Amino acid sequence: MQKQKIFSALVILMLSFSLGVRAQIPSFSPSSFTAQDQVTLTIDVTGTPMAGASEAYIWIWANPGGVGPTPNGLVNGQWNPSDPAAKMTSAGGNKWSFTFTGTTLFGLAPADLHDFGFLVKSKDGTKQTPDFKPFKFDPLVFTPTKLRIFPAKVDTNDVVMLNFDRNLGATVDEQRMTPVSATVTAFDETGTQVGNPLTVTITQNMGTTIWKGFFIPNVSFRPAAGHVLQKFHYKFNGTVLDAGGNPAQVSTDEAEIFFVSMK
Amino acid sequence: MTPNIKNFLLLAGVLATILTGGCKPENYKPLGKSATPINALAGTWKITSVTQKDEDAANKGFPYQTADLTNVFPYTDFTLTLNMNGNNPTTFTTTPGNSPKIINLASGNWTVDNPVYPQVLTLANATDTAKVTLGGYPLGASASNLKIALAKHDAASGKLLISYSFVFSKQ
Repeated sequence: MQKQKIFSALVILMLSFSLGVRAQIPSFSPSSFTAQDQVTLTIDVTGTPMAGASEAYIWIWANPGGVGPTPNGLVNGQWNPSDPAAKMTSAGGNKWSFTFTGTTLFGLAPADLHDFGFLVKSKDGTKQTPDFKPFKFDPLVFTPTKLRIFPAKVDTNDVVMLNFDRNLGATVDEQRMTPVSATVTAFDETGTQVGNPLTVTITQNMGTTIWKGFFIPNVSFRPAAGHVLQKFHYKFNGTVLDAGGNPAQVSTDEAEIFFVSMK
Repeated sequence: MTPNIKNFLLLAGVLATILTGGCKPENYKPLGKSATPINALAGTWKITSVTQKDEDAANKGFPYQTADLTNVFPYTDFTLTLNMNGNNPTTFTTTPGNSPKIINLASGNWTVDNPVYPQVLTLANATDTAKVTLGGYPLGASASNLKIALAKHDAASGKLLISYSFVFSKQ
């Protein structure tokens, strides 16, 4: 009987501890976000001095992880009183939520934003939770790929640079090929191919394994009346030596790019 | 009055005379008429350099932020003529030659946002309008260079995505 009591007490203690810890882990919607994405954080303040509060304010700051500038959120205002813009929205019970976009909230470029921390407080600052930190923004890291366009987003009247990095080739042919041209195929908004595929002359960047070629979509492709260019496919073509030492024609995979309407 | 005090007063009087007598207003020549940037825009301009910038990549700190397009296409064929009547912009013409059309207008009227220190040039005809931003006035040591920037924003969000910088040389 004594052992059962001790066991029950331990279970209750563990459950309480578990609930207490869980209450201090915020949730985010969406679950992953960059500094340029809008995100809603929700925090349960049960077990903190803010439990049972009728209103709550966020105090938020950038880069507690130790990298980059560390400004406070532009909504913070003074510790006493908080700015009305820092007021959190009730999510029921002891839960409070706050919606923000990192770059706007901190007035920093995405490259300068790595993580953030926050706490929940009363307007006059007499009550507050512990710090919650750090929570990372999804890195806005450039990921090299074998096929890449420059600029990364283009409209139909932009100069488009097609790039192929042989070092990043996924197949033996891509890794061994000597590129000689690129082929571009354009499509309108109905998915219908526009004109004939375009063969683009390419050159190798000095001292690299990258080949590039240029074209201007609306110069090379004229959709039928009443239609517009919507996307294009491109691939690089080249040669490899076959088993007999003879050149064989090969191509990379195709990449698909949708045009972005700009003004 | 002792001789020392007399000498001191005499010396002070001589010094005061010399110092005040030495102060005369300089006869500076008039500064002349100040340069008016808008007048420097008049003339025929030919492209010498074109740079494309991926503003989104630059904002994110990515590599591959700019590309020199000057010799990729025959941009150096492109000429822009800005005509003026006194201090007032009047007509313009563009002659692309084999260059891509950086301004999709052959001719029309041009205006500026500020008549003295313009920043934005608006080129317009009956059906279309193009706005370009001045990167610097063709004055002084840069009198033969006109810098124009063209910004392109995402139509949905308004976010700056691409910019083109054109350097023109006066013909």
